[in-house]
This record gives sequence, C-alpha cells and structure tokens, in this order.
Amino acid sequence: MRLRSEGCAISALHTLGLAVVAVPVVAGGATQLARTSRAVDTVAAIGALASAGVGVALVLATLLRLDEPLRTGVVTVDAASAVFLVPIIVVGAASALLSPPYLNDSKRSFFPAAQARRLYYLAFFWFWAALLAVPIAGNLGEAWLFVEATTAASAMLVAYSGGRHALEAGWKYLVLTTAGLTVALTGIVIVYVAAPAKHHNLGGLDWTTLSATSHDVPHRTALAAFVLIIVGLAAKIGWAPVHNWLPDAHSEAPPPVSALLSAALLPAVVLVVWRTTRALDPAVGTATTHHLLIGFGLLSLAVAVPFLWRPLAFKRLLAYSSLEHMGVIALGIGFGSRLALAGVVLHVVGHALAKALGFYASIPLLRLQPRSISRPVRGLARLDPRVAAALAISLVSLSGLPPSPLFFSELFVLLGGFVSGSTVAASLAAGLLALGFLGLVHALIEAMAGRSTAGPRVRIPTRQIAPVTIVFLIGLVALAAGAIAVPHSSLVEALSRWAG
Amino acid sequence: MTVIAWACVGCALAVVFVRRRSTAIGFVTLQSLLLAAAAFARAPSRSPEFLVASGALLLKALAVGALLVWSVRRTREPHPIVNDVSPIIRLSLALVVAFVAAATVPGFDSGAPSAEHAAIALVAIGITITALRHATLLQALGLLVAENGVATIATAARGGVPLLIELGAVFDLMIIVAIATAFHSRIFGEFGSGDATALRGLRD
Repeated sequence: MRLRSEGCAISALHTLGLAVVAVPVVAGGATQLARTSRAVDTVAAIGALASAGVGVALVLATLLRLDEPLRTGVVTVDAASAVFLVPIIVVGAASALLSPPYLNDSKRSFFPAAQARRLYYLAFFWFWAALLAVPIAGNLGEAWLFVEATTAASAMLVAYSGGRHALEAGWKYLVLTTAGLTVALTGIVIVYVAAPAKHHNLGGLDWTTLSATSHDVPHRTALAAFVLIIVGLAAKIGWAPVHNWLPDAHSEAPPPVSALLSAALLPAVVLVVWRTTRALDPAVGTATTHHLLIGFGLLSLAVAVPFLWRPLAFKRLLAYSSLEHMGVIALGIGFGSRLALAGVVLHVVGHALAKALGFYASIPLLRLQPRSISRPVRGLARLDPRVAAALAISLVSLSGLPPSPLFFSELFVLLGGFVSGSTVAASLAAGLLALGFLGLVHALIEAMAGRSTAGPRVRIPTRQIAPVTIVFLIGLVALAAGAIAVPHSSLVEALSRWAG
Repeated sequence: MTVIAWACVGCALAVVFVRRRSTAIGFVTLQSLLLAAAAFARAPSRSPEFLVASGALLLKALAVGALLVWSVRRTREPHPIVNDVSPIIRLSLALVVAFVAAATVPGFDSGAPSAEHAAIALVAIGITITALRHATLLQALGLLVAENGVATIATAARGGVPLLIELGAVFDLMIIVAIATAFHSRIFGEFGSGDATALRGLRD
C-alpha cells in the first residue's frame, strides 16, 4: 500500500515537473490567438497565473518530500530546485502582469508594430518556460540546452525597444552568452567522452550518475572540462571578468524582462554551476571547485563595488548590484558550510524580491523622469512618493541595511565563510560588501533628496506601483522575520546533505 | 577523421583572414559540410541514432549557409568594413590562441587524439573570430566555427554524443543564427552598416 502511494507521489511530482514547463509554453502560444491588445494582455495574465499556480504546486510538493527527492534522468526535483524555482515563479508571474503598463508606453519595437505585443509575450513566456526548466533539469546536457534556450528566447526581448542602445545590448548579450555556452558545451562533451564507455548514453550525464562515475575521469581532463564548463556558464551568469553584457542588457531591456534576467536567470544558471560542481567534485577535488567559486565571488564583488559608487542611471546601478549579489551567492556556495548555504537560500529569494521591485519601480520612473534612462535619479521623494517608496525599499534591501533579509543572508554567508576556515576570503568579502553598502546608501540618498533635474513636474498616474510595492514589501519583511530560523530549517538540512 | 578535422581548422583560419563576408560564409559552409560528410562516413559502424545526428549536421550546414547568404544579399555594405587589426596579425593571433588552447586541454580518450586537438583549436579560433572581426555577420560565423569544434569532438569520439544533446545543440544553434541574422538586419537598418564598431554607445 505504502509502495503504491509512493509511486503515485513520484508520478505526480514528475507530471508537475513537466507541466511547469508546458503551461507557459502553451500560454505563449495562446497569446498569438488573441486579436486586440486588451485580449492579449488578458490571455497573458491568465497564462501567468496558471503557470505560477503549477509552479507553486511543484515547490510545495517538493518541500513536503525533502527527504525523498525525485532524481530521474529527465527531471530532478530536490531542495535546491525548490529554492531556485521560487524567484523564477514569483518574478515571472509579476513581470507578466506588469508588462502591459510598459507595452502601453513603448513607441517602437524590434518586432513589426502590428505583432509587437503578441511576439513580446511569445518570447516572454518561452523564456520563462526555459527558465523554469533549468532548476529541474535531470542532467547536465539537458540543463545546457535549457540555458541556451533562454538566450534564444530572451535576446530579442532585451532589444525590444529597437533603439540603437537596445540593439547594442541585445547583440552583446546574444554573442557573448552564446560564445560562453559554446565553451561550456565543449567541457560537457569532454566529460562525457572521457567517462567510462558503459556510461556513453544520455544517462551518463545524469547528475547522480556523473557524481558516481566522474572519479573515473583522469584528473587533468576532468579539471580542464570543469574549468571550461564553469567559465562558460560564468559568462551567462555575468560573473566578473566575463560580465560585459550584463550592465547593458539589464539597463536596456524592458523593466519586466530586466527583472526576470536579474532575479531569475542569473541564479538559475548559478544552480547549474552548483550541480556541476557537486557532480565533478570527486574528479576535480572539493578544494579546487570551491576555490574557483570563491574566486569568481570575490572578483565579482571587487568589480561591482566601484560602479556602485558612481552616479549611474538607476537600471544600470541595479545591474551592477546584480553582479555584486551573484558574487555573494558564489561565495556562499564556495564556502559550503551549513550557515553559508542558509545565506544562499535567503539571498536567492531576497535578492529576487528586492531587485524585481527596483525594476518594476523603473516603469513609472521612466515616465516621471525620462532622462533617468541615462542619468542618475534625483529628488524623487518630492516628485512622486509612491515611486520613491518602491525605489527606496528596493535599494535599502539591496544594500543589506538591517532588517533587510539581505543583511541576514550576507551575514550568514560571511559567518559561514569563517566557520569553513576561509578567513581571508570572508574578510575580503566583508570589506567589499561594506563598501558596496555605502555606495548604494549614497545612491539612495541622492535619489530621494538630491536636486531634481527633471524639469517641471508632470502628472503621471503611478498608482499601479503601490500594490506591487506592498506585496513585495510583505515578502521581504516575512523573509527577514523568518531569517533566524532558516539555518535550522529542514530545507537547509536537505540542502547541506545534498551539498555534502 | 583527422584529415577532415584539420581541413576544418584550415577553413576556420580562412575566415579569420578573408575580407568578404560571402567568402567567409562559403568557408564555414564547407567546414560544416565536411563534418557532415565525416559523420555519414562513420555512420555504418555506429548506432542508427548517429545516422540521425549526421542528417542533422547536414541540415544545419545547408540551412545556416542559405540563411546567411540570404542575409548578405539583403544587406549590401555601402563601403567595405575596415578592421583596424590587419589580416596577418589576426591570423597570427588566431594561430597562437589555437595552439595554446590545444596544448592546454589534455587528451580525453576519444579514440582520435589528433582530431581532439583540431576540435579544441576550432573552438578557440571561433571565439577569436567573434572577438576580432568587426562585421556582425562575421562575429556570428565565429560562433558557428566554435560550435563546429564541438561537433568535431562529437563526430570523432568512439561512442558519439547522445542524440538529444546533438539534435538540441544543432536546433538551438540554428535558432541562434536566425536571431543573429534578424539582429544584423535591424543593426544594418539602424546604423546603415553591419559594422559592430558602431555598437559602442553603452559605456560607464
């Protein structure tokens, strides 16, 4: 009887895993059937809610079975999937629902005018579907295919506005990330070919099989393949020094797409790196894999911090903040202690909420201060309190000011670093994070109280941002309130067991 | 396989050197066709899946070549795109990068050690083409050359590569090239040229 119910549970989890990808694909197709702009928006909203519903069901089902994760060759649903699915689901749904205000304002597009709105949603939903597939991919090859699919689906979204800068950003994103992913594929094929012959089928790239057999791959070959895979994927994550596309794409993409890029895409690819690290640890050596991640983390922080001190356009500031925060996640995974992993869990979700809110605030901001597309925001508190509140909550959270959940997550990551014996790296990271904090606080003060250069005040309806701000604020407060309990949670327990 | 792999490296070096986009497309198409031919030649001793993968390589060679030629015809450059790095220096750099990459990556027991070096050299030359060439279409060709390097490993290796990965990579690549040509057309329309040096407006 127990076996039968166990079989049903596994089958349900497997079906949910497939449905979470299929529903947004169908939703994207359905938007092509609608005739008017309003109808397209309605179909997109229904599709977004349906996709989010299936996603939430999958996360809940996963959390209920933390001790018995599903790991087939096709689908992997475990504690790590649950953590990384949350931002993709939340930010994907919010971005779909908040796209109409942006689309109503946009005057030109990469796509032909008559189909621009429909094609936007088609690319958006397929991008979202590919993103949802990444954390549950059952093997390394499949994960690579889905990451590559995110590039195909999102490049034209980055260039959606069709302007010169948007084309530049979209082209850089397409070329640099594809080049990186080709390097990663080279590493994947090398690992596959070098593995024992009995594993020469798709199953040979299963996360579990790879972990069990990688010690048979000669050390030097495994190391070369590992470096190729991680450096290639780093180009997609935007870790320094292969981050050149990131500030341009984040600043030029439509804000709902920027939110999805920063809050969902980057962490999703980090999970592929993490799983690869786990799988190749036996061949490469834990110390080497962890040192590489810590190196990427510190370098990303060191490159991001000087830019956080410069007077940048708001979306560009958020982009460099993404570089900083992906560095923190790399450090957490590299340190590897339970406390650091708790920090990673909190950071992935907290960063997603705070960053997405910042990008959503930029939709009305660009109407209030059109020059903020290329110049720093100034004097927003006097100009529009609603937009100012959204922007302030985002920047306060991203800076790590207590009681932001990112304060706790960064604290956990740093303490986790000291616990794991990485004293020098943790100390350096603490110094860089303190500098980054000061830079963002300075930007916040200027944005709120600085002298406005916006010219005469214009009346623009900004009411829509208020409910979004409240919802995201509740999420951030809840996360901060529960932060202390995270290191002792069964989720982090399961994650530490998996991460070894 | 070894001869074909090194012939592919020769085609890649030609793409580093030549000025005309159509000539470069010709070399990359030839490279892709050579790989497809090598795959078909090995298919009788392999699984039926390998035959399907060989067909996919042939389809990619023809479809991508046709798409790129069509794109060049639609976007005639008013003036040749001038590259500030001379062809000889580009070629020398590509050779150095290819040599270093092939020497650095250790053998991985594919059964064709020389083809392994050629494959790694192809990936390195492809990335170098993308970095050094200024025409947007030539940058896209660099990605194709690098992907052909991966296809060389997949073709040379004893057991091949799983069909799903092979087909998925070919399909993804075709979509990426289609998107790259769409970008090229829009860039040409906006800037009056497919010169990537015009894409330098975003700086901090």
